[in-house]
Amino acid sequence: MNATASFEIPTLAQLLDPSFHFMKAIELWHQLPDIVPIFLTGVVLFGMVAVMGQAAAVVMVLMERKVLSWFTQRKGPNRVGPGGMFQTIADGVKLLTKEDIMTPVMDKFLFTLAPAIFLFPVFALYAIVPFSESLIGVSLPLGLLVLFALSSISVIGLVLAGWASNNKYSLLGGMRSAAQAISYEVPLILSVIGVVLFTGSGNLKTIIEAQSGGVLHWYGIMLTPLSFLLFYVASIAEVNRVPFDLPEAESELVSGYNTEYSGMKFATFFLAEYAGLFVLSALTVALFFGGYTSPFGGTFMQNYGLADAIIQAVKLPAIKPLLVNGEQIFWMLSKTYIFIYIAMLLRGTLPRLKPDQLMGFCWKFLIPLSLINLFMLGFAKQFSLSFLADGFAGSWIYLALAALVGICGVGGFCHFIDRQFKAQVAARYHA
Amino acid sequence: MMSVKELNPELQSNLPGVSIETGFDTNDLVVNIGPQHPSTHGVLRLVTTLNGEVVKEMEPVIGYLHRSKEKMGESRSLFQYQPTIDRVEYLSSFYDHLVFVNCIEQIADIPVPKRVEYIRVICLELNRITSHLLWFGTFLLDLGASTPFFWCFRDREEVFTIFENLTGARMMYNYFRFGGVNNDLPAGWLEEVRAFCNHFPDRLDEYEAVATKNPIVMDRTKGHGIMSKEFCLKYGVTGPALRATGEALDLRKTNPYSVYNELDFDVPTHTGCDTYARYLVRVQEMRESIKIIKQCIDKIPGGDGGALAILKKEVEAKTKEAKKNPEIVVPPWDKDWDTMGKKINLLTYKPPAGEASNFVESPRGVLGCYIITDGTPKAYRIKWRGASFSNLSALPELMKGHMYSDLMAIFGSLDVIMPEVDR
Amino acid sequence: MSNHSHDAQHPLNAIEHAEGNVVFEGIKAIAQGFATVLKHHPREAVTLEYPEVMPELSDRFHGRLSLLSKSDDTDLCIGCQACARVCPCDDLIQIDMHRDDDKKPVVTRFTIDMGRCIFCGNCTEVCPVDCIKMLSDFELADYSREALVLDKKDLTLSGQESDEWRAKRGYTPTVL
Repeated sequence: MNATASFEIPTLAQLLDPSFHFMKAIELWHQLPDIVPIFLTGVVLFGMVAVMGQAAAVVMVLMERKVLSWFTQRKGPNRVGPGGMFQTIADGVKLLTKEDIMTPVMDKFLFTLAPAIFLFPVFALYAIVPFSESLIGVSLPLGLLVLFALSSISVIGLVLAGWASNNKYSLLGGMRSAAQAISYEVPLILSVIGVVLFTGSGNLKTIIEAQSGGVLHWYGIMLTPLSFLLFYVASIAEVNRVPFDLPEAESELVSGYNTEYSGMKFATFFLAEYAGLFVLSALTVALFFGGYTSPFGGTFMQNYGLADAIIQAVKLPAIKPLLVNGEQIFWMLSKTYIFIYIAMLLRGTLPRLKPDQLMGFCWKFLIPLSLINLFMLGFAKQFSLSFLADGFAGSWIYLALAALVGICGVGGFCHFIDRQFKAQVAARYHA
Repeated sequence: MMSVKELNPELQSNLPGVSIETGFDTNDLVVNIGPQHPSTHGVLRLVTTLNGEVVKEMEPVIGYLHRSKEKMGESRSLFQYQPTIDRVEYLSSFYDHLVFVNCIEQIADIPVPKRVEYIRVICLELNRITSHLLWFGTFLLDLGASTPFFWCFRDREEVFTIFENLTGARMMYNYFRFGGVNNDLPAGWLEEVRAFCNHFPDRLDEYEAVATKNPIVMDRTKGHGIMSKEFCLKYGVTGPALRATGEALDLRKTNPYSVYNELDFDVPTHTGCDTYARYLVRVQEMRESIKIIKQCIDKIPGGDGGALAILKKEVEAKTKEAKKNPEIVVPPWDKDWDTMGKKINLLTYKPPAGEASNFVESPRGVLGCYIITDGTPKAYRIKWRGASFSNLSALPELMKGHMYSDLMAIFGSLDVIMPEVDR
Repeated sequence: MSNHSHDAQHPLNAIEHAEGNVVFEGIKAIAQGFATVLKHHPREAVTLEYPEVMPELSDRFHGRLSLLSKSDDTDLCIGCQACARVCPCDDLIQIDMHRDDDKKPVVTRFTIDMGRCIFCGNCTEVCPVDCIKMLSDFELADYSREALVLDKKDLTLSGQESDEWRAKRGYTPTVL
């Protein structure tokens, strides 16, 4: 550390150049005692996660209500603020000021604990979501493992809520959610293994870098579209959304595990559900749709010299990372919201499954299919390594081979499912 | 899993909570569904014993909506009583009125003009569509799809606006009278109906695109809630639920009332006997209703209200001229078109002593009414036969062995409405 | 269920001889559902934003009850009690009348409890002088039940308003 450097008197030109101040700030940062940057990073990260999680949920609740109203030729919320923009905030304020009802027969401690247990893993997941090159909480070598570890914790919250409410509907909802979450973990993990197989890494940043070549390099489009479908279906089930919203099933269980909840505790469940949908949509983008890269590869800012042009125009070299990251965040968020829209479309179209259908769909359909898929991908990977150089031209051939294996496997499997299904329905008549 | 009994046949269960058969003990869960529950469609209470998610036993508890509609008829004059029967089955209240009015027409032998009959049939079939639309929406809502519910309500509101233009009310019409109707058709009303009939089948296609072939709907409904024909007849189940067993019992065809024998329509049946068959029959019935309404619009004597008003002026003018010049031909004019069949002074009307019963095919099944009059303005006794009550009585038997989630699908497919059960 | 082989509609036949694979048919049906739902996205909302936009009501709408008067602002009502007698609600319409020296009816009290009215329209149908009629006004909410009991002053329309009403609906009053 050159302590004397900071006492040099800057020239006027230096004072006018923002990049000078930027460099100075970085110098100062390095001079602080070690604990301070760590602490500050923690605070900033926590703040970032909390703000992004809340903001995403607030935007999504409004978006969901608006989108569903458009599907049904309604106007949706349009009273609070322009176009109903502040409706969610008004609802939040209402929920905050509402009475927090607890009946005497409840297990009060667990009842209070459950929303927190449901919420924190979802928010913790924001830490591993890469919104851009730099805007990522922690770039862990095994980020995917963290994803699965954290997402299976939140189900404990639901079971606790169902149990502690001392309500039969809640109990049924909690039990259903436990069975559902545990079952759908399996296809979720199996479908991601294909991606890991091709990338050779569990780091989300590495996975995104591997797909940075544009649309044709996205795993969800070219290499593993089936993996993507399996992952998306399983993740919709993980966040308990239609058609897998059995734990809430308002026509059967009134409101499922959160029947007895009101006020801020209910809001916490609500928030966590939407935050969970956001995180899983963002991870779908990161794993299968090139994450923060543009559909034409890289970013416009870097590829077409846009960033340099802007820097020349405004004469601020320091904003280059800002520009690049900004564009990356834009791509990430817009892709994520496309998947959130698809989730809303699912909610607008599909009816709810039955518990036995839900389990059957997972164990008899998704898991065998993801195993076939995994076998197919392993086959493709092996061929591409043994006979062909790892390049784009070669990928077409192994794609064709894999497709052949895939069509045989999936086709045969579908035929099997067809027969199974028909036999199952026929059995109901004979019973 | 090998049970404890297989491991050691001589073992007796002394431990609390452990059953010899399965190795562990489970308790039945008694869930009290309703009277306040999102999918009991009113205030039905179902005391359900669940084994896991499987329904072991179910007992419907009714009576939360009892409003003594039958007794009310004994303390009010017939004309005073008539508006209150709108509230018996509020989703298709034209049918209640038809049954009631037909009974008095039978007792007092009141003729009904053809034009009135056609107006009644148009109203009835439109009402069947609104009733089935509400059923379609709520049935899919019970299955978990929320969007068709709003679409159905959109179309239902369109029909209600048509009804409002005719009767002045959206749901509680009070429109039929003894031997007639309250008011003639307003100008342009038939065109409104025709416009609805023209675009509604496309809407119906949209609903079907979302639901009919959907694998989740199919798996949740096919093979569930099977009622055989014998079972239906034993429990008195009628309407689409009976026609879904292949029995073409439709009173419009089997004992034609009103002008149904002049109209060409099919009775949709299905032999599936299950929830899915009931679904298909109802959707098909909506299409048949459209067919009937279109025929009625073409066949109605006198035509639209506006055209009739012009014709009336012409007839009046030409009648005057005809007195001077006998060569002028006066267009045909039915005297009933002036009164729309309302020849009775409702204030002082006393039907002759007698009794009559009448049954019509309501959207839910056979709806009947039995009236005894004793020469006073009041009825001596009025008895209603609602299809919902009989259809609901089949539910506990149907639900045995099904899953808790099937309850909503099966109960929804019976299309029960609580005010008609309790009356 | 034994003789289902001749019945094409029978579900067992429908299942066993269904064309196509359940999986692919299912995917096709779901895609069709998506397309239908998406087709609704650009359509215009049918919502009527009520307080700002008032609904267009028909002339026959069953709304608030009112008493029409003659064109010269005198009472049309003759206090004959016909409306009270056909009303399905007990004592909803209460009328006090007496005859003046010329034997003409004078209505001293006419109250309608709109809180209990079921808007059936029976009263408008039997009125011999076409006096009691229903308006298109449906905004009847008030803060107390007592405020919903309308007396003769609240109910009576002025002669001009009555004439407008009659002109709009092409009414030719029976007695004037």
